[in-house]
Amino acid sequence: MLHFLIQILVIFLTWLTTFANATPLIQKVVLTNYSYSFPTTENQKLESEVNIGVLNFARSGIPENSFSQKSTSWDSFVLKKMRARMSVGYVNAPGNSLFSKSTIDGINGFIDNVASLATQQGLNLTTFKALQLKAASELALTNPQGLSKIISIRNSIPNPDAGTIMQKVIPLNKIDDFTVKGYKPRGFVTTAANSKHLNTYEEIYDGMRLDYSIDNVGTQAFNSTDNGCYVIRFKATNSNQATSAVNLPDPDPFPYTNHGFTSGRNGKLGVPEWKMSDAEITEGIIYLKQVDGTEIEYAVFDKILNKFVIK
Amino acid sequence: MIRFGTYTQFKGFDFRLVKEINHYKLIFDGIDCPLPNFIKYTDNLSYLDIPIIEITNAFFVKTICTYKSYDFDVNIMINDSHIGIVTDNKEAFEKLNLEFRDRSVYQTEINIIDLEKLWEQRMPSSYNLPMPEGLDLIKELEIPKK
Repeated sequence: MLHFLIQILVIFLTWLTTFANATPLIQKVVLTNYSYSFPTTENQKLESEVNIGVLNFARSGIPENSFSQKSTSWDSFVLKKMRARMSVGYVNAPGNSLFSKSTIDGINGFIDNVASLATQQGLNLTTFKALQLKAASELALTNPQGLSKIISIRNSIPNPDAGTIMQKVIPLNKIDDFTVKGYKPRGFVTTAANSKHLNTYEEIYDGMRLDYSIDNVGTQAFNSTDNGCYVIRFKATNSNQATSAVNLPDPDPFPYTNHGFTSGRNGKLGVPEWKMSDAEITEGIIYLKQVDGTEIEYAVFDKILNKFVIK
Repeated sequence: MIRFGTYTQFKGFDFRLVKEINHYKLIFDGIDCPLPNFIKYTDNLSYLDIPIIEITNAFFVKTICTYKSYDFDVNIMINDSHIGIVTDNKEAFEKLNLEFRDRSVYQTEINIIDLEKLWEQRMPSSYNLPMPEGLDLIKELEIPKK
């Protein structure tokens, strides 16, 4: 009997302990009390902080990244958004250095081959530059043999393809066309490697002959006194459809040459140029080219938005 | 909607197609994507990463219009009513007083109701995939009435 009473007592005490530690039913259904919201400005600040953290995460090793020290209820939302952006090249991921000047300088270009190309046509660099300075229409009248040689040289330069880094230079006041409106580069272009010998704004201005007029009263798109320009470097699926700027119908007046090279002046070597329709860009970066040649990343091509986005 | 770029027909819908290293990205331009699992990117854009093997067709689209008797490429939709158009036609540049963007790049922005004709030109893409069966190579688009 005593044994039975002890068993009853143990069962009672066990039940009592369970009851005392049990979670109240109401706590299982209400929202957790550590969930909170921030005012809008606070949200923005937090998002900014997390963005910075993610940027650091992308650029540095895990131990020193500031993101690891941040943890907010916004993390999952912002991270998802940032990871999505990173996956499409929005953020300056390491792969985007593909378009930097230092990378371009390592690619074989016109400056590396011009001497041998000229030699094959019985020219040297000086005589080639002299030919390059003149329009095809003038050479046709004064030096048809020279025209034939320069076009032979031009035709020996490989056409771009989807893997080629193209380059388009635009005036400072036209940047909104690309970053706000979303127009695509088109018209006369070169390849980044073939123009790598032009570093400062002055070299680009002279080498690419940006001194052309846009009307009959001498207005220019670019001016030698500009504080630089923008350089769009991009890859496009349709680069292989670009045509050499040789013998195009209804050519622009000089300094356009129509022999495929810009007429580099003041001793600058010109560049081979092509003409292309709207570029279907797969990746690219717009750099702000300062007068001294320094380049600052300004906008990155966002594949999903299908336009350049200012950084 | 003004289309420019590479598209695919996938499960009965058109999506813009972007080739990545190991997959494709399907991009839907609109608020409500008709297929599930797309990730919202902006209010009007969502995307889905999809294995290469699942994409069986592709085509390149450019939109062209006739405006004051000249043909233009239609580049952008500026808002619900206005579009950006561009040409390399020097005569059009001079006669229509277009904006000079660059040598051989002349542009203007107009109300879509001022167009005479608007159409899509579809052609093979650079993705080495066949075009969808039965796709019209030229598709005329309706212009809203004035």
